[in-house]
Amino acid sequence: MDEVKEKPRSKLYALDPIIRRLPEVAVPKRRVAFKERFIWTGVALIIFYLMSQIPLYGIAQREPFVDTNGNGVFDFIDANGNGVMDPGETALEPFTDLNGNGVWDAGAQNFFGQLRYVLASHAGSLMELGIGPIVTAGIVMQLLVGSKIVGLNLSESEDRALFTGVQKFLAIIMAVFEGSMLVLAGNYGKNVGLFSPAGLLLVLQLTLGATVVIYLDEVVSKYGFGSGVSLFIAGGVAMTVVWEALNPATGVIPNIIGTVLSNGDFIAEFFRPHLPNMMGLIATILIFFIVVYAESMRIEVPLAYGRFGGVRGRYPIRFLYTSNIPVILALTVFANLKIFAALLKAPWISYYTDAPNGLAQVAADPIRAIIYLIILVLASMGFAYLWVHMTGMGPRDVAKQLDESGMLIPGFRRDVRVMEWVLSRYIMTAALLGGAFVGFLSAGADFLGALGSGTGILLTVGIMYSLYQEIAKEQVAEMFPAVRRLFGE
Amino acid sequence: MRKFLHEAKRVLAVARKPDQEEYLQVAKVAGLGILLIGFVGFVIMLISYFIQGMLAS
Repeated sequence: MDEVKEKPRSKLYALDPIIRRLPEVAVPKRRVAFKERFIWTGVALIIFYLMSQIPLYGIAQREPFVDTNGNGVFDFIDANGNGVMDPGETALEPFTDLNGNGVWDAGAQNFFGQLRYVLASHAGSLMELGIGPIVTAGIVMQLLVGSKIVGLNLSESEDRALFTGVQKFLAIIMAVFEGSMLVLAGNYGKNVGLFSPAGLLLVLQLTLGATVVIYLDEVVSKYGFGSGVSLFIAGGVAMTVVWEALNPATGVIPNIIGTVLSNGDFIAEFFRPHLPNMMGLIATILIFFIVVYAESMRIEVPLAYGRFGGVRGRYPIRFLYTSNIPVILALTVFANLKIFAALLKAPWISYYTDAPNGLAQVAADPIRAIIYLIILVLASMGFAYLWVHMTGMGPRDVAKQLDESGMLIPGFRRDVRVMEWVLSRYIMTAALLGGAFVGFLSAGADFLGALGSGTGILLTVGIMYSLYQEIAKEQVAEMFPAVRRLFGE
Repeated sequence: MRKFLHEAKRVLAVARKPDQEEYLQVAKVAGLGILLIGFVGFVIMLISYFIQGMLAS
């Protein structure tokens, strides 16, 4: 047709020559078998774990695991017959940075603080930046496209390819940027200059680590289950939970056993300060069960199939409509704020956007806890609202979809606007309420000192749940090829 | 604000809560998943600590 005007191409196409040269994980040409998906996912996870154990070259280290009495801590009971890390004893942290801050264990000073679980960051290792650059680049791109600043139409394949290419390019830039900022902020020693050989080497290592994560994420998205981003968050949190519960040095359970065997102070194990304690373990389990409950809540909107008035169905809307995404986005913004705060020498900014970890810290400054809670809940609601509108999950999109497939809401006349109105009462309310709920739960769990952080548990349960749904769907498709045709493959 | 709270109360009231069977199923799957990948990470971290301990001494 002649009337169709040539749409002006987005200015982002200027980046096309660079994007074309960026290596890309090839799209699978055939359906990836279930077993293959399983293997790719496992391999990516193990590479991620290994990289988070490789310390950055050029930062100071101490001998891991010796307590203040000089006892090696892989012996369950020390020379006094006590559990190895009793309350009151301090561990010499493994991997201490140049400021003398331990960087690995919970409670230790550490740049991203509690945020590291959301970033899948492992301080002092190649995984220091974790998935931070990917998620930050993702937020920036969503905002650019959603606000129509760049005229990309994601329903066109060419524009979509450019979008993912630019996002990857931006993620690498973000890695260089965040790495440089960490060095500038003095995270690896106040006297390490950005342009000194040591500084440049650190930035290089951080960028390489983050780039490997970017490609692992692509591999998992195309050949595995779910996405690399969610897999690595879940992996980091799950590892921390098991580690803090079971490791022979500071672990909660070995220490409880040690204390009981030596008739030590049992109650003190519940409140060991600066170390994972029994309260934390209980909080972890509690949060787990609350989140599982919330994850499986649904609001069911009754529907009828237009042409055959009798056929009725339900359209399920998840109570956590945008799942844990609002918290991930809010905390990624907080993490970037933290970087700027360090740079501007304004520590109060990051003080109020980092969760107090454990009851002791809440009691020390309750005002901080309240301010953090309010900021996180509001930010989560804001991001829930934005996310619904930007990703085609909004009432208008859903109403259009249902209308096109001939559905209507019984008792209302068939009109897409009526449907949009009815849906928006459910969808927007669920999204905002769900956003507030995940924000509240995440902060509350952190206050109780859950292992792997409350936010971490919240994210991980959600991730596991959707991973399970995807695996179950894949498995059905594998066993019954007819089902595969149903999904249109 | 008041309107939102009112709507929120209504949405919570009509939301379908999981029955016991469904709830236990999700809890089991998510719990086992966390323990499985957690243990893989745990073992890798333990080995890494031993290696680094040996290198340090």
